[in-house]
Amino acid sequence: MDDQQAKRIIEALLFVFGQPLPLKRITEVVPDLEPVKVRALVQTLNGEYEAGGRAFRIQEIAGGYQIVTDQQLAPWVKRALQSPKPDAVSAAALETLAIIAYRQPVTKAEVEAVRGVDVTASLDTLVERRFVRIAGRKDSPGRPFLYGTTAEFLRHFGLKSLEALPPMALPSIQEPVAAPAESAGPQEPASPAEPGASQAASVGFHEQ
Amino acid sequence: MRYDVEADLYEGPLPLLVELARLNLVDIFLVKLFELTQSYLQQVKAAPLARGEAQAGADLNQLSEPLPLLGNLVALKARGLLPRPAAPEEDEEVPISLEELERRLKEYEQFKTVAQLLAQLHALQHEHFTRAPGEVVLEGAEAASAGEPVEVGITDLMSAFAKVLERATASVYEVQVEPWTVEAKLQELKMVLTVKRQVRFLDLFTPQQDKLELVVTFLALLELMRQRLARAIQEWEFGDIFIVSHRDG
Repeated sequence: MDDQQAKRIIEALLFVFGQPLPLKRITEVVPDLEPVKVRALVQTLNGEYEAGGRAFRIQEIAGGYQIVTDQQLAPWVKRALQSPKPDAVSAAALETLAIIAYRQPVTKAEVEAVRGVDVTASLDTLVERRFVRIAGRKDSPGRPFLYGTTAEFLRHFGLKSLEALPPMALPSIQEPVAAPAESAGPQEPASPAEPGASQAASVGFHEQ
Repeated sequence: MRYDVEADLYEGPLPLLVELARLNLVDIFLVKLFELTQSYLQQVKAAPLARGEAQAGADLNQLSEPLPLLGNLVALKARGLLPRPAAPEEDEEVPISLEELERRLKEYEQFKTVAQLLAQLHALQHEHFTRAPGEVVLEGAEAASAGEPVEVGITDLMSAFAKVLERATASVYEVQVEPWTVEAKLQELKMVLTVKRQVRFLDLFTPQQDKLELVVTFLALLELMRQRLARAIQEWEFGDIFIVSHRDG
């Protein structure tokens, strides 16, 4: 199969799907396409769209690819859809969501310890909007629920994966309380080059 | 609005007093809260006379400003009056070192920052539009992309069940409140018979009433006669039937 044909197939698939199409699915449909090739072709397509001034582009999101409209066209699309404001997430819910996103899996009590307030309401909102889900139970007294983020969360926040979350300034916050103060110093700023890696590594360490 | 207070120990703005009391720099037990609240109440009562009615709304907001502060003072004092719990119970709460506090504060600040970033990401993403989701169902794709099976939470089960309900075909019956009851009609008839000595049977019913009401009225009438509170008479054969109160008959 030549590149031109493969490109057209990818474009057709993405055109049809209303949700992110996983890379794996594309290679299932077209077995002789390597994942690397798919990525390259998607980039080519995006380049063509941009050069041709098309109204859409391919976004890598929530572990898949999706065709989305250009943001400059948002006002018109919104008017056509007659959709009111994209229901914004409250500041409180966002804080809760941020803690869950970076610390998952995490219990409600642990989130509350960071925010210093009751998070029942914001947690309910997040679960209802399917940004957050119960990801299991913690092996501690009471077996509390553990919460984690969903693909829906990635989709609504335009993230490829959890690794694409913006980096947190200090990874040292994961240090146990008892640790001497000096030890926090050297490992201070996370290297901005691989923010995801440091975050991914710290997730899970939090649970004792 | 600046609200100054005058107490034996203290003279100045109210917020400062609250802050001092909270930091234990002023002994709240030496401040007579009664006088503070009393003078505040007086000021509130005097307020509408002093100010124009046109601005009543704005005044209310300003007037109520000292209220939470005074409330804070009362709460502080009340808390001070409570007996302190035995020392060992508070073991875990008391020793929060300054470093620990600082660490927690920093940690929270960081999450606040990333929360703002997330807000921006969210807003940005909502400027992009896709085809309406759900038109094509991607069967098995999610499981394939996730790698290993994930535990299904209560919310997933609930939404799955919602779909089951959507597909349910058996119709739902609506139970309606009975607008007419025999008891109520019975009372009504008794009233009528007390006022008028007798009523024409046909006058008890009007064609505009719906069938249910007619039947209920009739049942009430039968009940009335069963209780021997009324009887039905006919002046001649095939003549009009009259319902007569039993006492008069």
